[in-house]
Amino acid sequence: MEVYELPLVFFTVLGQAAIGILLLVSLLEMIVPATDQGTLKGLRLAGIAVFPLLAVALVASLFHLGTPMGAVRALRNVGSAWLSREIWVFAGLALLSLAYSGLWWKGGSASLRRGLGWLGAALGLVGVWVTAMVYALPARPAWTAGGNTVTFLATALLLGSLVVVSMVQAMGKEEQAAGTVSLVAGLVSLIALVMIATSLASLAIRGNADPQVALSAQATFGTWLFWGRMVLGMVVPAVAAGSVLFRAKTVPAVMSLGLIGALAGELMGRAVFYASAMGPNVWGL
Amino acid sequence: MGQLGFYVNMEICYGCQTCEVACKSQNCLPPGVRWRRVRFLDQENPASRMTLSLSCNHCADPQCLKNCPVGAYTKRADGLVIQDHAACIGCRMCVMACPYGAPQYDPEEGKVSKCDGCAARVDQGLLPRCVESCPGHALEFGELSELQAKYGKDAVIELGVPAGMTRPSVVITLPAGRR
Repeated sequence: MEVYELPLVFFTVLGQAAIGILLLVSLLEMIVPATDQGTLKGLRLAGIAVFPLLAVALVASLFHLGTPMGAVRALRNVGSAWLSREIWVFAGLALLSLAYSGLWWKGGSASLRRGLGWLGAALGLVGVWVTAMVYALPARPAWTAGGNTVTFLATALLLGSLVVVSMVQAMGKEEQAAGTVSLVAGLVSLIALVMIATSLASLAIRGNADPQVALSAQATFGTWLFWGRMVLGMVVPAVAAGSVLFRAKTVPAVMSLGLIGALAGELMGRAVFYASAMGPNVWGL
Repeated sequence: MGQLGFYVNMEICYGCQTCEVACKSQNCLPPGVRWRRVRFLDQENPASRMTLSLSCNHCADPQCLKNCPVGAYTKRADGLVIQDHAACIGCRMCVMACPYGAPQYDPEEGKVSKCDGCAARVDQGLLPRCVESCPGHALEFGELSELQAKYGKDAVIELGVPAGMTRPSVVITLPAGRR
């Protein structure tokens, strides 16, 4: 039976999307002039979305536990368990995001908001790395610290950039800053797509040399979810990002389609990530 | 006391699974949960079947202990790795982290459990139930260093899992012709 670990799929993908948004909004806020109100409204919407996304991600993670009422005990073993460290980091990030999204929603000190945004983005990147370390288990050779980090960071960059650009395109259509935001976000999402392709290619190459990794590679590339992810999660966003980079005008609907495709693709890809390492009996025992 | 461990003689094991049943009975394990499991390893050319009885290997470097977020696992002075079952939250990190499939998740209970080497029996000077019940004497239990001295350090085989990953406390003799 396939082990898709759906609660973990939603926790990691949505959590990483929130981190990507934090990073992109913090970055883009620096280059958007105060006069381009429509573009700033787009950034505001994206900023408000950070906390709800993280909250949904954290609630989803509880469904992974067989005994969710004991979840708080998972904070105990910071000394050696990466999962405990991950929970501490994401709990901190959730609190920080609550303040950050609140400041976007209700208004308040812009400098405090920007400071929280950068702090959150930095903590979020630590969170991406810590999650990668949770799955860097010798018993699951398909998962490595480096490979996991690239995979998770790509999710954050892809979804973060597409969320931000979709909202900016919707709110600040004719503004010059909206065009700049689209260019930056389009470039970031293309980089993320290259990272995803690299991480999949690396799995295939390692599979050629290592029989245990080969089983996971077969379980990855032999599934319909993988091919669905290729089309929805890579081709569709690549077309959307390409349309931003290589055409003067972009239709907002294209970016929204790119975002929907990328989200579906990342969810499918993450389900395959878990199933390919947890499903096969890699050690023959 | 040094590290305790199991000895498995695959040459004389004929796969009756009495060890499995005895373990389940001793520990009142629910359906689907098997702390000791007999693996049937089929091979072609020449067509043959080996049986391998494995439980928790009470590793020197237990990945379950290292990765459990609640710190439910501890390693006793005699090397047995035991779990505080009340503390388990069913996150299955130990299931992911153990290459031998020792920790067993029970979806009904929402928790993981694993072989404790019959620690309570060992404390009373008794053997683990699986060892005691094996009709072919294919299982032994004792100090790992003594088992290694008795059966040769070379008998520790990797079984596909690199031994350095967790340093399992098990000594295994392969069937003749497979050594």
